Parts: sequence; C-alpha cells; structure tokens
Amino acid sequence: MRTGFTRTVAALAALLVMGGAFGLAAAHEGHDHGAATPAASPAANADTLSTGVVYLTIANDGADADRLTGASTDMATVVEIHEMKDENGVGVMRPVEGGVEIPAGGEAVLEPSGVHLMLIGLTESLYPDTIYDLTLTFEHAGDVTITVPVQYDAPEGDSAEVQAGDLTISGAWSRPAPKLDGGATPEASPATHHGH
Amino acid sequence: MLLLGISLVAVVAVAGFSWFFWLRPEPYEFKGGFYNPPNPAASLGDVVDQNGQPFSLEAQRGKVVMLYFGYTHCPDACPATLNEFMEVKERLGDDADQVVFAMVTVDPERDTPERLAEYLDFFDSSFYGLSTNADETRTVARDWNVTYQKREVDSATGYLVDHATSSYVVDQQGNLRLTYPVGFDTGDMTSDIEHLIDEGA
Repeated sequence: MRTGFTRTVAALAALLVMGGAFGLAAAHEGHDHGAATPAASPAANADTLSTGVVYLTIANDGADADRLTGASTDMATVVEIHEMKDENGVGVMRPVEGGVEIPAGGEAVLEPSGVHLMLIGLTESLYPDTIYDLTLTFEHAGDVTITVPVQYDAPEGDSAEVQAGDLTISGAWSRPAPKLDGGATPEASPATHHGH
Repeated sequence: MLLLGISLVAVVAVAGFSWFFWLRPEPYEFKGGFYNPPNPAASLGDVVDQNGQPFSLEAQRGKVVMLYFGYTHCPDACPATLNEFMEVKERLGDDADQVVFAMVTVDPERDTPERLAEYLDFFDSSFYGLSTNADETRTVARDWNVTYQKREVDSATGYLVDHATSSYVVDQQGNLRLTYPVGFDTGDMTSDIEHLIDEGA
C-alpha cells in the first residue's frame, strides 16, 4: 500500500519532470540551426604535436634556495614549466616565467592542478608502466637526471628518491599520453602537415 | 460511536502519514554536484564523433552519458578526467554498457576527428571524441555554460585553451543531473551513476 502510494507519487512526479523536460527539450530544438546540417570538418591544422606531463617533489635541505629552471628528455622536443590555476572552475594554464624556487629548508611540489612540467612534442607515446629519463636543470645544483615512471595515479608511499647535493627529488610520475600520428615538432613547418 | 469512528480514522490517518513521511527509505544523496530540479541537457549541436558520424544526446536516450569539454593538447586536467572516466567504467563492471563516455573538444582548429580517434584509441576507443566547427563549438559551450578561451602564450604548444574542467552526467531521459570537478573520487562518481542507472531501469 505504502510502496504503491510512493510509487504513484514518484511516477507522477517523474511524469511531471519528464513532461517539463520534453517540453523544454522541444523548445530547445527549435533554436537549433538545423540538425541535418553536417558538421563542417574542422580545418586541418599544422599544430599536431602531442603533450605530456610530469609531477614531482623537490625538497631542499640546504641553507640556500635553489631554482628549477628547466628540464629535458629524449621523450619530448621541449619541456616547459607550466602552472594550472583554477579560476572559478576554469582551468587556466600558463608557462611559469623564471622557473620554480625551492626555498631553503622547504620544498617545491609539482602536482596535478598546480605547477607541472609539460612535455611538448612527444617523440614517443608515454605508455603506462614504462619509465624514462628526465634531466632537471637547477640554478645551483646543475643538471640532475631522474627516472620517471608512467602511471595513471600519483605514486603512493615511499617512491624512489634522487639525491643531488642539498636537493632530494621524489614522487616523480608522468601520466600516460599518446604521441599522435604525424606529431609535429614545435619547429616543424606547417606546410609539412596535412589531414589524413 | 460516531466519535469513536472519527477518532479511529484520525489515528489511522496520523499513523499513515507518520509512516509515509518518517519511515520511508532515505532518498539517495548524490555525491557530486546535482542539478535541482534536473533540466534537459543542452544540445551538443551538430558534433560528429571521431569516425565522422553525427552524435546527438537524443540518440543516447536510455543510457547515462558522462562527458567533459577538453582538448588533446592539454596535458594536465584532460587526461586526468579521461583516467577518471576509465576508472568509473572499470568500477561499473557489467553496468558500463549502460553508460556512454564522451569528450567534446574546445579546440576544433587542432582537434580533428582523426586526431581525436588517435587520442582516444590510446585511452579507451569506446569513448566518443566529439567535435564540430569553431562557431558551433562556441554555441555548444555557451549552451552548456562552459567557459573556454584560446590564449596565445609564450609556449612551444602554440596556444593553450583555458577551459572549464568539470565533467557532466546526463541521465537516461536526457536531463543534466550531475557535475564533478576534476579530481573527484571515482568511487563516489560510480555510486551516483549506479543510482541513475537503477533509477532509469
């Protein structure tokens, strides 16, 4: 009895909601610019390079601050330092000018939805459960090469650490990312690429 | 006698109402942001999928649709969202065939259907990669209240696209029901979607 009544009420409510929904949907259709028009094919664009991302933590036990100024790897043509900021639900990504400071006695954390290394112009796909070498360049510590695992989630618990003077680099990882066919290097001429 | 009858009816009525209002099962509480009341999801315009086939939400009635707006040059939020979709699909198990996963590009200049096909092949080729021309993309994004803005920046990627990083869930009747920020717990998303599947069954 109770269940029946509840169901009836629910059904009536659902009908009302659905009725409203379809009414509105129908009204909305009216504003469509002709659903039968096939989508114009987006213009073939030269910019077919692929991107990837690296996250890591750098701790500084020293008395002086250091600065991560760049990075390089065989996996990408260029590595840039970018920062993702959330501005009212909109992800705003910008290159970070001047690198990332690692304060004396502190750390710099490169993590999702924050500062990250962006691999631009992948030379190979970053397949899950693979590793590759990445060289970080610091203002004082110089070049430090680390191994980056490719995985879907941040490493849990203790991950491999690399010590370089006062710096300790840990928790490095890359998201899987495809090198798309015809991937251009950033320097490549637009004329050499076409749709296929 | 009449008084007794009226009293009896009153007691039964009160008991009945109490039963209905206090003892009925708690309604499901969605974990994600939910639209109250649910509204019909806006059209995706004349998007095509990665095979060049027209795609419409109307054609997905009877299934739950999970989608987000992104672009293939984006290394951080977009693959993160795709990974979340993959996790949700895995958690859904057999129910995954009740759900359609899609990304809509906000970078139609660079994200051709061919490129979207390659991109999604790497993650999950059952996911739809939807695109249309630049004008229609603007219309669709406006209808979905999705903000995006192409930014010329000093980067080797040429340009970046600032864009809303939320994902959206449309129910079997075509109503926009839920939204999640990137990084939301995939177990909670799965629970919400399971509820929608049961609700529509």
